Amino acid sequence: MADIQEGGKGRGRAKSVELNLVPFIDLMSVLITFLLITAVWTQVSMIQIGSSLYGKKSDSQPNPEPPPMSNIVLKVDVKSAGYVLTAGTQMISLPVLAGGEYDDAGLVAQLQRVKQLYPEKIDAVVAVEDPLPYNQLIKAMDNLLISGFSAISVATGGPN
Amino acid sequence: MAIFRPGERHRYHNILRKRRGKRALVALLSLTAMVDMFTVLVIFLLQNFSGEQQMLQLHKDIELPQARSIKELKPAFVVTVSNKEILVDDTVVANTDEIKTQQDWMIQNLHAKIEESLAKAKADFENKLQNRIRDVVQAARSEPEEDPNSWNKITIQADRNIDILTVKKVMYTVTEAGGGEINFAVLKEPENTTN
Repeated sequence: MADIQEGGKGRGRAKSVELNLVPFIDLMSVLITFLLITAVWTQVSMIQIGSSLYGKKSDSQPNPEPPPMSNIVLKVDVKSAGYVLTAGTQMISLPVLAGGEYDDAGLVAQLQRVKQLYPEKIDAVVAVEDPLPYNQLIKAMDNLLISGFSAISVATGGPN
Repeated sequence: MAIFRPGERHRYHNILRKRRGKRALVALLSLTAMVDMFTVLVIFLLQNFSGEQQMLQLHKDIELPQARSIKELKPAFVVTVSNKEILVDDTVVANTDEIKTQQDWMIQNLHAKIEESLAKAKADFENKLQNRIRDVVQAARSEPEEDPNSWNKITIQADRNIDILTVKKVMYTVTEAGGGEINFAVLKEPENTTN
């Protein structure tokens, strides 16, 4: 154990200095128990709907300022056949890939191209077909956020 | 029990030691390895430790969607949409199957519950505001401005496979009941996955 022994061979008295580890182990045990109980193993975060521009207004709140370049339409339709991106007057169709997965990489690339064209634009609309899983809405929103469009609105109606 | 003369005693049983003479056997428990392990564990757990409280209770039936572009969770009312039921802060307000089949987008129980909770939150917030104004007058120095609409935030925690129509119904009801900013609870997607 943690001790220092000195002498013993000669005539002098053997000196044994022993470190008392018991309080240290006690402290460690208490700390470990506390930290294990309070530990958060899954990091839940959130994804935000950007603005309440089209939402219900309360009387006390002033109308929010429209974001810059909001006259240019940017809409992501999520259909069972794939994504359809509407940017201004242009419509880009990104069909479902061969494996049955949505073309997320393609959508991000197209959105980044739109961002380069209109760097100030931050608002976008997501419309998802009703029977699709909620996961698709999050994926579409995530792709928009990655591309720099932070003011996302969710359309209650389905895609056109 | 025998009565011994008071005085110094050896910790490894003096009497036995004396009798066995030079070949006394002292079995020592090696604590070094255990102390090492404890230290490593404490360091690991301390690194993982976050001072914030958990904002929402994870529901066991819910598999949250994953996302990369995320923000830190803020305190808000949590509306949970699982495959079985819809809850507001641990109170069951509706059955998910019924909501899926109903034509009307308004979920009456959810509406009532959210409205009630929001009214309470607003009253609390205004009381707090009054206190703060008083504090500000006394201290003549104010803290950074708090978000005036922080009381009406809603976090939706829904299963990733639930149909979007049900989520839209919940969102519609929440907005109609006076809810402001809506956030969706997600898990952080691991960095190295190719998507």
